[in-house]
Amino acid sequence: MAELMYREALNQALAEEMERDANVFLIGEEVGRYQGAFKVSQGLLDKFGSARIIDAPISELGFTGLGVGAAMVGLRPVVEMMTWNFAILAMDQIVNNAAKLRHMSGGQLRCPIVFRGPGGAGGRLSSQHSQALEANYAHFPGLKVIAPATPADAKGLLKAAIRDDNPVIMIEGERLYALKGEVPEGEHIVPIGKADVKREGKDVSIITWSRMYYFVEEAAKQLEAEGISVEILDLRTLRPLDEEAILATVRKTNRAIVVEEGWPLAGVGAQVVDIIQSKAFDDLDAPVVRVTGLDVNMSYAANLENAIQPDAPKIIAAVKKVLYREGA
Amino acid sequence: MATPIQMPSLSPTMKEGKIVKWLKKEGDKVSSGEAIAECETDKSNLEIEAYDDGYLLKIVVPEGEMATVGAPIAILGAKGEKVDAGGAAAPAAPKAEAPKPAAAPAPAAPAPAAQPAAGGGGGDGIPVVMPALSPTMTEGKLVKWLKKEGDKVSSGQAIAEVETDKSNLEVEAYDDGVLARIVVQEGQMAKVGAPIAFLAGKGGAKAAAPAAQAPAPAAAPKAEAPKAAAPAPAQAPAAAPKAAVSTPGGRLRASPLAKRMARERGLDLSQVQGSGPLGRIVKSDIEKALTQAPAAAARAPAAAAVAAPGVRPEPKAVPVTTMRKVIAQRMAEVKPGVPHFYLSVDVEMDAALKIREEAKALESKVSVNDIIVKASAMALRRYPKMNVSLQGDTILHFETVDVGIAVAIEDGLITPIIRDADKKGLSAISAEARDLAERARKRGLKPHEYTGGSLTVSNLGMYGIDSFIAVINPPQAAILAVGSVSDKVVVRDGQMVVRKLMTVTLSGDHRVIDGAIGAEYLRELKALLEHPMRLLF
Amino acid sequence: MFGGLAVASKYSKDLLLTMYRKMYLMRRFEERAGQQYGLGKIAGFCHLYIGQEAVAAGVEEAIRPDDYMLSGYRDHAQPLARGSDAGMVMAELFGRTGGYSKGKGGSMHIFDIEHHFYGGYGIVGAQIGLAAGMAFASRYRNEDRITVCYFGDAAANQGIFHETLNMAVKWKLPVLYICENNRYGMGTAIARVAAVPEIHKRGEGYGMRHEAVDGMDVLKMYEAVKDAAAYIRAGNGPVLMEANTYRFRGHSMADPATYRTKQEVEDERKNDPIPRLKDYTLKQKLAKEEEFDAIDEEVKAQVDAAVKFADESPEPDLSELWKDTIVEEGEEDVRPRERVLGVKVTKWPKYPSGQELKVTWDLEPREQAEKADKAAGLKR
Repeated sequence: MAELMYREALNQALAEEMERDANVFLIGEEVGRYQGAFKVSQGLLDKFGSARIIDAPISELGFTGLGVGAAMVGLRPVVEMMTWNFAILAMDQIVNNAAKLRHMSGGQLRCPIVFRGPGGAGGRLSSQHSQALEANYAHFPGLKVIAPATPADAKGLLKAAIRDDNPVIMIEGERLYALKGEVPEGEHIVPIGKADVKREGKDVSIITWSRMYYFVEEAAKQLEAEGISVEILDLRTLRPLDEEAILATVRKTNRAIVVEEGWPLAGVGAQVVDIIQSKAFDDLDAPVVRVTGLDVNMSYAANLENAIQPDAPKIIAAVKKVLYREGA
Repeated sequence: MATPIQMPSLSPTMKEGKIVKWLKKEGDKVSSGEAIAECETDKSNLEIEAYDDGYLLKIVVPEGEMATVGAPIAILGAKGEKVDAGGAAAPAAPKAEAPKPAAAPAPAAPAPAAQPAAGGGGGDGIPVVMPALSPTMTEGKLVKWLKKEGDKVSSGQAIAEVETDKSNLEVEAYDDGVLARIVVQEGQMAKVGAPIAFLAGKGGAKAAAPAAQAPAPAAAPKAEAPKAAAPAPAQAPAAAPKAAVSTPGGRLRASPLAKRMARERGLDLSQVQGSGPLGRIVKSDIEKALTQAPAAAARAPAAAAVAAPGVRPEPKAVPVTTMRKVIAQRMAEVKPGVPHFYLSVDVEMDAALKIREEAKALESKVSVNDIIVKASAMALRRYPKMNVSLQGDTILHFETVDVGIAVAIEDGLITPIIRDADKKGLSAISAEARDLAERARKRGLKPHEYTGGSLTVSNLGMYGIDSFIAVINPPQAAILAVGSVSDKVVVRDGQMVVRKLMTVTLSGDHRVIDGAIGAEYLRELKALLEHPMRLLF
Repeated sequence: MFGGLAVASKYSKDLLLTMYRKMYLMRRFEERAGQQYGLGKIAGFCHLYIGQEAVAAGVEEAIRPDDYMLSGYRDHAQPLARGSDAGMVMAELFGRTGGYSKGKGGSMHIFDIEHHFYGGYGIVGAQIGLAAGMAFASRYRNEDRITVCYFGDAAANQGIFHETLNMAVKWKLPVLYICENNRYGMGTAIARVAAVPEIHKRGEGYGMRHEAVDGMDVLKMYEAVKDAAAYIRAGNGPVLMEANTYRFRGHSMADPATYRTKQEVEDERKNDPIPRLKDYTLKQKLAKEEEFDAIDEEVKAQVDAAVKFADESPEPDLSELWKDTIVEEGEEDVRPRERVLGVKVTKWPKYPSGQELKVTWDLEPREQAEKADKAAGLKR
């Protein structure tokens, strides 16, 4: 296994899938000659040519619609959003067309397309460029939503997404691109819809995804020193949710925390808590606690930016709360 | 062929329209798509078009008048075709393929007449409601689901067991389908008529599945759950001084998991000290209690007996069963609601007891009670004024003689009825009484087996009770309280003799029976029992 | 009436009668749809095509049956012109299982993939982007198929119209954009909200071939599209065509059309494309009156049968709720005529696998890019 950066793992997945299937093409802003705004598509233009690595004009709605149209007649487009903040311009094509084509056509059409790009907080980018928007997409039937935390999962999930016959939203971590990790070479597929226990523990379960996983891991290490054993469930897929895995970990530890970067109201975590309270009520030893981004817009000032996001101390405080060890 | 032109629905909310102006007159040629009239709807003025070529034969709705959606406003047909008045007023015979005149103008929700909605209307599906399984039943406890969500059920199939105030009965499905959603969980109560589950049409199971996990309110703890509770203090003396008061205000706090564990292991939560916020009992508290009280459940009675010095066992809180609840409620209603009067009489049972011996010789088991049932029934036959029941503003005079027998069962009592007791032989009454009592104890009686009659026999003689007063079981009008048979010294013909005496006390409903009638009845009953040969006539 | 075309007919009788039959079918179908709406059999929005039939009929005869086509929400008539089953379209309007989309789509979402009709879309202009993608796919696979995309005059004010025209020209996508300019976006006259109401002129800004056609004249539509389709098929890039037409009915069933005068509608009715074509054919002595009568009778029977079929088709089963949202692994696409009528559908589109397909085309040829870089003094 090679140690790769998150962006390199994505690049590898793209290259392998484009090699494997000539129906796959990549379209987005700066994906070609610029080599990718975040270098995810580095070197691909040379390898696959300009018909398959397409530099799009800054017309998010337009090139997203073009991608959906191509998918309707059998191509397998990968549409890169420079960031998910800009994809808000393309919501109509994703939500009203891609997610509903199979339904509106009564099963005549399918739409095998991947919309991918970075989400979540950037670094000192203020409110328009720092948003965790996964809950928006997780809301819609007809879409699948994935948000990997590690380079290996990024590769495996992107490959699965490209092969999937449904529209898949892939939210990458803008601040994870340079992160390194072991990545299996070649045919490494992570199935969509399967969560992953990233750390085994017995006292409390922390359910999370994407970049928040690293804060949880940091908190878990500190808590271990205090004799508290944390189990970490990385959801990886946000639609469809892996209910089985969520219930299994809660039934094991009887206490749960859900950590998400986005805002609390109607966040994905709210749904996770609902699953727990409705299906594992009799397994709970304490109320479920959520750790989310603060319910405010992201600020530019460094101290405000830090205060808004979840971090290890906030997670540790939450763990103490569900273990009834507040102030301990 | 003449075809009606109907008032169209021109907006999703339109119910009727006013003909503002006819653009064509009778006899005019019209072609498909041509505007023929102007119509004012709830929204705006719109034109009505013809959908066929032909001639405007007759205008049914003149200018300025309203017509509901679907009503004929004109008749279209071939040139010179005759329209009879009836046909014009009501388009009795529209073209075969012409859409049926929309009788119910509901454009917003067009109910396609051709096809009844599959699966009984969206949403939740077909409700299965808590049935009224006895005349007095107002609610029932769901004891057990015989089907689970997703199971196929067919009409007539039992899907759940319900405990009523009287007995345990099965609830049947009245539709075919799939048990889509269980609303009332095992152990929960439901009012008569309230849905306990929903059926979906075939294949609809999945539709309701997501709702299947509707949060189940913590099921009422099963009656037998807390039975092993007592030992905890004995085995955990250390905790004893503080135990039992988990929280300020007396509310017991425990996590759902702790509650479940306690339920499963028969642990009394009130004896466990909670370590969570506000004294909430959590998993670790249960585990501690279990290790400190090993095998507590098994040794429950003994442990209770040797309660630690200075520790007074707390009373056990046992939830009221359905039957108890109904008895409590009804008895509280009956006493003030039904004016009782009481008449007592002593009966010499020597002759009657001989019948028992005769029966034994015939290998037939006949009890004193059976004889009393028979005698009370024959007395009723002779005094029909006693064989009545007050029901609202009417008094029912029964043609048949049906006598109830009070049967004590666990946690209550029930009064199965022996029908036509006046006509049945003693051994038949005996066999029937035994069977009814036995099934009553197993809660296996059907509603018709404990409804009806005008009088019940309640016998506490086997407990050695000399005499007592019973409470009437409405809508019956009377009850006989029968005491034990014992040797008493009585004076007969100036001599003191020993006789087997039994005291019978009649409670009568004074609204329908008067003292004199009751007295005559008791005199007849006494005579029948003292001269049992008369039972043969 | 047919101006320059009246000299000697260059059109076969077969073509003229085919177009007449299609137009008459669209007209009668839509009239009956309006009637059924009035009777409560059809609900929701229902946008009729009455008056615009020359556009769909002219286009259909000028392109290939396997060319792709999409439209907006005024979408009952175009699939009928393509050969869709009238009963199944009507059943879709009724919300019944016999509809093309099992009754899930309704009036605004007719899809008949077998006849390469890729749907009616309810968000104004959204299909413009999809059409570019479908045309892109044809280009990507070196097919000579073109995509025809209908939209209304109001859609030309949407952002996606401009974003897509730009890309379509830049990448020479084989797509024919037909703006059916019926002069009103719902109740707003296009001239009131468009800086340049002649929609086709907007092609100018994108260096796109553009033209206006009399959309009330089926033969002019036929000629214009035949020419444009050949141009596009030859790889010259997209064309923006504005078909000036008129809807005789309101925007939808609930529209009283108070924003235009009765006189205007009456004047336009004089241009009714159906009698125009009939008059022309009679004048050319290519067909007799009785032949038209026979067509009329056949079409009426066809539409009556369509209504009957729709009315008798059951509502979709509740289990359908959970189908057609996500494609499960190994799940086949639904072929409506096979599902509803039990006929074998053989013309279903088939795409080359990722191993068979060779992409030889370049959006921006490498030599060209390298040359440009060199000229600019850039190093790669």
